Amino acid sequence: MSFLLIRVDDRLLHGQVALGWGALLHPRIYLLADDRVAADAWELGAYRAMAPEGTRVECRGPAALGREWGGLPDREGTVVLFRGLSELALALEAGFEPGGAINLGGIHASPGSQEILPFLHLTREQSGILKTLLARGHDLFAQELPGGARYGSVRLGEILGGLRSQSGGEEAGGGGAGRKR
Amino acid sequence: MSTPGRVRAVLVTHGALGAELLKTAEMILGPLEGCSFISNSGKSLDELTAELGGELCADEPQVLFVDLIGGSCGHVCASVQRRFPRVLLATGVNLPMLLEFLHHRGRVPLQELKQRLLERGCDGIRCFGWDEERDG
Repeated sequence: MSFLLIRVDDRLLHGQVALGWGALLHPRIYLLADDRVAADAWELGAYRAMAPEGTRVECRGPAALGREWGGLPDREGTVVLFRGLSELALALEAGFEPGGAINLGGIHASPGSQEILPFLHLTREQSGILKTLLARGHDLFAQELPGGARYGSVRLGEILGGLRSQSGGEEAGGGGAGRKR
Repeated sequence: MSTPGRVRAVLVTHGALGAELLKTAEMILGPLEGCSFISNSGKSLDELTAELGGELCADEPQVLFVDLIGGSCGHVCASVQRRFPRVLLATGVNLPMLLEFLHHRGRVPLQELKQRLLERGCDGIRCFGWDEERDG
């Protein structure tokens, strides 16, 4: 049985997730797969205080999720949120089985990152992780909001293949705007 | 119950909403002091948290106005309350709520101010006109 949605988003649970996807999917549980939140009761409390009415926020680290996902209740009503690609990769390494496509929903610009899509900025390390995940056959799609443009695994591979080296200030090729920060 | 002195306002919102709410409030009340805004546009959680932290003062009473409960703005504001205990967080900001705050800040005790924000933020919301049962 697959999860309702598995999403990589560096804001974790926020308006686009709670209202954009939430209005479509009607989740009962938001599961934050994040070590920072798992180690910080105040931070988790802040997410719980702001959670949409009728939903519950749970949290565990990515590695713990990889070990324990099979025993989680109500997976079909759960949206799983990862802060980044490294957290997703960690969970997959630990045994997490998505059971469906994984949504790349939002990674903001950071030092050294390139704009792959307007809502997706990747450093060289993050591009490497994404390429590895695609090469291993994981089903990924980039889409910010329901109804927005969807970029499947093949298209993502093409976009990544069009990127030039990120180390020498060269700009991205096909797919993204290639703005470097 | 003591009446707080100067109470600052920081509007933390999506897009340009906070800037426009403050601009509109100034059109109605005149120039405002002790008010600022932060937009979440294009910012990661860490960037938004850092910007908000730089805007707040540990020893001043402040009200954070947030547009959307459940959004990144609300989360960041709830999160920084750990470092800034004299911060009140008000979600669902609208123009009546903001005007009520600007009229009464520093004049009434905090508990009364909170109640006023809640009431004023809600009681300006009405629906008029078309009634399906009456008008078809």
